[in-house]
Amino acid sequence: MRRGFLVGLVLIIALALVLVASQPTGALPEYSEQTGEPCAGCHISPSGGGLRTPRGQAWVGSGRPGVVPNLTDSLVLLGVRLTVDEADFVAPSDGVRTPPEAPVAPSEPAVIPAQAEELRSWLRMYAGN
Amino acid sequence: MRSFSRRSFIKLTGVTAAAVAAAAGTRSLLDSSAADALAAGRSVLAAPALDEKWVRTTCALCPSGCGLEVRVVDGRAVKVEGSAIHPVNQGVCCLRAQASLEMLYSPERIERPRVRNGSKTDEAAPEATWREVSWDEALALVAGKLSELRNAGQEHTVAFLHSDTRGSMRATIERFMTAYGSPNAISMDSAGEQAARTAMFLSQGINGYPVYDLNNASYAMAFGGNLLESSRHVIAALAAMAFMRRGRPQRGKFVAVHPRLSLTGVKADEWVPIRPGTYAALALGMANVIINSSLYDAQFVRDYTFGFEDFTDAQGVEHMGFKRLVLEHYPLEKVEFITGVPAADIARLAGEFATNRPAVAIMPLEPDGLDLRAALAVHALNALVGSIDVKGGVLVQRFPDLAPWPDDPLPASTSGAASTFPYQPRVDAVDARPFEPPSPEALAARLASNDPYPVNALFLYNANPVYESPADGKMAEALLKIPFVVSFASTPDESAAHADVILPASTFLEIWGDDFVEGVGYPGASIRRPVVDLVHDTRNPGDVLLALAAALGGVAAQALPFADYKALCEHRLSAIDTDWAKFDENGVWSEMVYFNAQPGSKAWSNVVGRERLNAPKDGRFDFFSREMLAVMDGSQDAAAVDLACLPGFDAPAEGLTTPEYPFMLVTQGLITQPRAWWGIVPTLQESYGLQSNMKWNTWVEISPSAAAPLGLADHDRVWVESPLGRVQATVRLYKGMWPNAIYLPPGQGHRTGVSWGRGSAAPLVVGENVNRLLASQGVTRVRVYKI
Repeated sequence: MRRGFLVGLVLIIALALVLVASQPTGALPEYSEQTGEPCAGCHISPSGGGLRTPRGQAWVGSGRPGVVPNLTDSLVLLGVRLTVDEADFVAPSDGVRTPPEAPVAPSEPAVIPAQAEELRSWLRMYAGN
Repeated sequence: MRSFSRRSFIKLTGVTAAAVAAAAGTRSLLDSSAADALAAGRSVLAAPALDEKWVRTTCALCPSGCGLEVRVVDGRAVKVEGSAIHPVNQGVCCLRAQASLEMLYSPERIERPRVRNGSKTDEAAPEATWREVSWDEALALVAGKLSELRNAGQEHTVAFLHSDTRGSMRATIERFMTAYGSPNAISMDSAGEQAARTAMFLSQGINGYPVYDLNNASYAMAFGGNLLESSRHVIAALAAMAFMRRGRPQRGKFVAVHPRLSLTGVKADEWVPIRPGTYAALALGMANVIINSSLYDAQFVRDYTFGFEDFTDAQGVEHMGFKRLVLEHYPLEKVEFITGVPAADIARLAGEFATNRPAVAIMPLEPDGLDLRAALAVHALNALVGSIDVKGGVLVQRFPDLAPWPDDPLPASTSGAASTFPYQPRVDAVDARPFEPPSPEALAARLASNDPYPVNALFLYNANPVYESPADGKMAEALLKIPFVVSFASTPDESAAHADVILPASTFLEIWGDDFVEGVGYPGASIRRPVVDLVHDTRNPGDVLLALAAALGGVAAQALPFADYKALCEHRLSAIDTDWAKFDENGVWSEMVYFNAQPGSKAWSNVVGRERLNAPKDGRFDFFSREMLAVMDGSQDAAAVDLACLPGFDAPAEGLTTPEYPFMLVTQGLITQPRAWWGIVPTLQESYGLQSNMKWNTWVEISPSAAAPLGLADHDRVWVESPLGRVQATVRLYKGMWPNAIYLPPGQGHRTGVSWGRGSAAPLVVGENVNRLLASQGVTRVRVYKI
């Protein structure tokens, strides 16, 4: 009995110390309360957590200030600059597709080593990492 | 059970309350003392203040290229965290990056340049002995050798073998070799990923790795591979998977198809066990259901694809289309027989895939010799449901526009056949099948037989071909034949052991560099910078190439006129229109937004057909590859041509297994091992076999139903033998394993020659090298028996 009591005592004291000494956790409601923003202000998920929006990234990246920067300021803080014209990605409404051309099939051996190597070299090299 | 009295309960309650009050009071006291001390301008601690800083850089341990923040105290890196403002990882930091400090401070590292004593072919002294030299001496030796070969007209006999590269390094290597006069910059990237990239080129006309928009997909199906542990964009996939299935109001479904219940399968909504090497058949069986049921995107298929229906070419020859292929050759009963997946399940999966759009099919990742055809079949599913560059579909990774090279003395093409020098064939396994990735085995055979000419010097960067080759003796033999081998190894490895000179590379935490954001679709770049001073007398391989180019002079020096690799990266990135102070501060720039190109829009030509060489750039996805048709041997009959240009399942002539070798070998990467060899990393090793609970050894996963007839029990030690060799392993019985397949983990069995890890007195070899068993073509068959 006495031994069990001592073990329990030690565990409870340790637990109490942990509870008291621990720092506030990164709980999302707390951030929401701190900034006055809904979870979806900073997270893609409406319920918070996980991937962040640009505003959320900028807020975290700038040291979690009291106010979440607006979208324009966030993009500036993150150094975002678009290099594309959004109009290029929209198809014309009157676009009519023409049928494909008939491909030309090889009538004789088409691959000579030099061509294959050129193709292979080109495939190995690309714009990415 | 011992009783707990009322008195004891009251005592404990009282003590707890007292403890809480005392702890709270102590903390309050400490806080107020600290506040008082700070207010008085005194240090809180008695010890002198430490010089502490956080440095933003970019990881290089896998192709995700995550942003990192490294805490540096008094010049020593002590902690790694994820950068919250890097678009890929957004503050997350995987186990590898956490353990990167163990690589930085590893006792295995090669501390300064080394030159081999004597000849490496000296049978009297098989173990290499080295003498350490200065960088000046080492670079003079290498530059002298390169000059000697160039003066003798033998520059084409120099080869540069590399695997993963980051940022501008791939282009720098290609440029160095081209300017020197050699066509032999040989990339040995992951074979499975290369298959996906080649499939993108053959069908979609894009020379790049596919990006899967899991964030927005309603249905995702991964054919093979360990997407959440070892895929190219693993960190982006982990975040997107969590969001897809838990973070949004409408939950998506994720299906993992693989012979082994991997971590990816465990995390999936559904695991579909399948016979190894038969993904193509399953994909085509699903296509059969989708077409038969008219569940495909008919308008997209009609207007933006080629080869769905039968067609006649310009010479009047009739060709089979994709539709007839799958309807005639892949009925459900046949696909069930091939794959082992019940026909009812195939039909259900096909229906789910086609009716829960946007749906995305993820191409196989691991090499099994059948991957290109499988990747083409899987990608055809994406086209069937119109998931090409739509939200939730397959995206095309965009990269930043880079500044042109200054005062370019080279022709516009960066390919090996530069017109500045006489044309020479390459030494890797290039033949009439240009779309197959080069294999270490084929390369070893060519190097060993001087085909097409003897290689007189070889550079090895992030590549360990002796370790990676099946039957490693062949590559070791090939390296012994090459008179001058230069390795950039950071720690000793099996290939560096056959080098003549080692120019030790600094770790990514010690160097300048750049990195291109990958896995999110939109363009971006990040900065890699030293977080600490060099720990040893090592160098950035990029700086070494620039120094060699300067020493060589002529075209090489003109092609790479940079003081150092940092200046090279700054020049390349200077074309990015951004706030450079912000870029430097954040360590990353990106557009953060991916624009999906509508079919028929101006940007559509950038996502379908952009890089076609011989096929029309008409914005059509090729079910029937016109690019492949253009390089076919015209002597083949029309039926053979059709089957080569369409996706398909090629059954091995001798069957998937044989009586002598009744199991198929499955292996897939784990998150606990970096792609390139960085030595033994204890933290990673301690968590190596998360599922098998095996850490510092090799295990073999085998189904209990297969183990019983062999008399094998859990934890038995066994030999696993293929026609190429055998390795030892510990049996782990695993119900999540296809009955006539076994799994061996990759990445172990390195021979470092250094005493390290768990206090080992002798040089430690952890586990076995599974590459010794792998066939370079087709499935690998093995048998298992007790030691």
